[in-house]
Amino acid sequence: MLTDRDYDLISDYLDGALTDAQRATVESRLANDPEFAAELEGIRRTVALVKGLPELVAPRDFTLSRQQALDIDRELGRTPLAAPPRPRLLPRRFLPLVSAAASTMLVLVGALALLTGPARTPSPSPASAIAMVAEDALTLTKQGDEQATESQMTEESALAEIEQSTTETAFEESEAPAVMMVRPEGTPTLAATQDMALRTMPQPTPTAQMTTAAQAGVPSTAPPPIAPSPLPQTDVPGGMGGGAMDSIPSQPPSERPTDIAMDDSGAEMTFSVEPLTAVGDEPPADAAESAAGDLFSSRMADETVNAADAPSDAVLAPPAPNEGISPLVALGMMAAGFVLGALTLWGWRRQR
Amino acid sequence: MPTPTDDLELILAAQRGDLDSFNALVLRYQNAAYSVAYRLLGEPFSASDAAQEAFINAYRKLHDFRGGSFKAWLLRIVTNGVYDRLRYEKRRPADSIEDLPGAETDDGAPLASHSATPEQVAEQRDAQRAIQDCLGGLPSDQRATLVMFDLEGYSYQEVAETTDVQLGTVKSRLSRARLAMRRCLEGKQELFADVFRFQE
Repeated sequence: MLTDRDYDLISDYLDGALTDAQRATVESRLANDPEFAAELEGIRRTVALVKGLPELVAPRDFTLSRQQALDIDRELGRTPLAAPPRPRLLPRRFLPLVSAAASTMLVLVGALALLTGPARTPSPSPASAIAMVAEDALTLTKQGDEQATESQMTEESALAEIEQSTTETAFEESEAPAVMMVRPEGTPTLAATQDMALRTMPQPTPTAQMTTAAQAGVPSTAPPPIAPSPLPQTDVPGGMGGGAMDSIPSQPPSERPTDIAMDDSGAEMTFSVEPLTAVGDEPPADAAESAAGDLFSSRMADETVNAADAPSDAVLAPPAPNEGISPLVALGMMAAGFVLGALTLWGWRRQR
Repeated sequence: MPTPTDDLELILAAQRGDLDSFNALVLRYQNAAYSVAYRLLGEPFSASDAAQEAFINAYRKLHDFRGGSFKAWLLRIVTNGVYDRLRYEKRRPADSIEDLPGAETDDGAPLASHSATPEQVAEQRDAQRAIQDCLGGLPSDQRATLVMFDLEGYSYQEVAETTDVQLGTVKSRLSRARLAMRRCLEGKQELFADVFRFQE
């Protein structure tokens, strides 16, 4: 029967904590005392079993939250080791989803822009076109004035020009897209501008009576998109010469003729043309500007007729969404989308 | 296997205020800390609380770390905390480990962290549960001494300092604890027959 002292020796012997003399004593007993040897072997295997206990898996994480760390720092009165938590717009777990969505959108938008091609050459904007026409008109009017005084344009040719112009205008009004033209109140009519243009020419015997809508001093320069509008018009007795034009009776809108009417002899013509003017223009100050408005109106009528021949959306459609996105930019967007997607995938895999 | 150099970088960063680095150390050693707490306390809930408390204390004392093995430093904190808990329990009338909160729901040691076949896992689980039962049956001072010395690799002197006893007392407690464990395990023949067959 072993004593506590014997077990102390065995334990110390197993730990290598005995002196040389004690170790010699133990080894002697091991050779001569089977019970002592069996107990020593039993203790050795017991210690091995205990030491062989594996490391366990923690049932949860013991990481500290920032708030915990800040509380500890405050408690200890030391400078916070942990930076205060930053507010997040989105929980961290949603970031990969947001990033993936952003990359997908970049790629899709870039691909769409690339597939639909570069932006169509935008139609000259009505404002710029009108400005250009008005400028031409001013130049041409000055030239016309000079030519009129020098070459004595005949009434027939003048009437023919007017007729052609008004016919085109009528055509424009009947076929051109309605939204193309905007004519606010206080803007000059084509008839008025024609009338003013005629006044600049040497006036032969009047042979035609025109019904015009004249609004003296109404403008026509630098206009934005224009469209027909029911402006009141004024019938003007067709005195083409002299001071006959100075008194222009007004006519209510309800009495406006709506079409060109010419008697058989062609001596009297009545027409009503919805004038084409720009929105918000300043009134022209003089007849030359009115004449410019006339030419501008005719020019616009030409352009409107041309526009009417083309598909309407080519003129009227608002700028396409991809307008201004060059293929290079589209490729850049796609590349950025791919890079972002790759980074998202890499970060997601690393997080897992 | 993390090296002390890896630990040192994280420790230095944590001392500069990088909580993420400190938490990286926590994640690296939380299994070891929990295991020691579980071996000493014998049941999972108190062990989990003790491990959490140990990491909080480690954060408090982070600036006191002066190099060496961070794992040993951390496990010392775990052991000291658990031993304080055991001493507190010992002063109470019912100081048995079975009376600790959650002990009645403990169905044995958690699974080992290494992977194995289901049969091996079952056998290991039974053997570990038997050893843990025997550990739990030891007086708390003997259990703490045995775990510190045989499981954690403390020296006699370190155990003596931690448990605040003389060196001879440590040796004596260790000897009694080993003998008690041997008797306990020998009684579980169905599990350890092969281990103790040498006697027959």
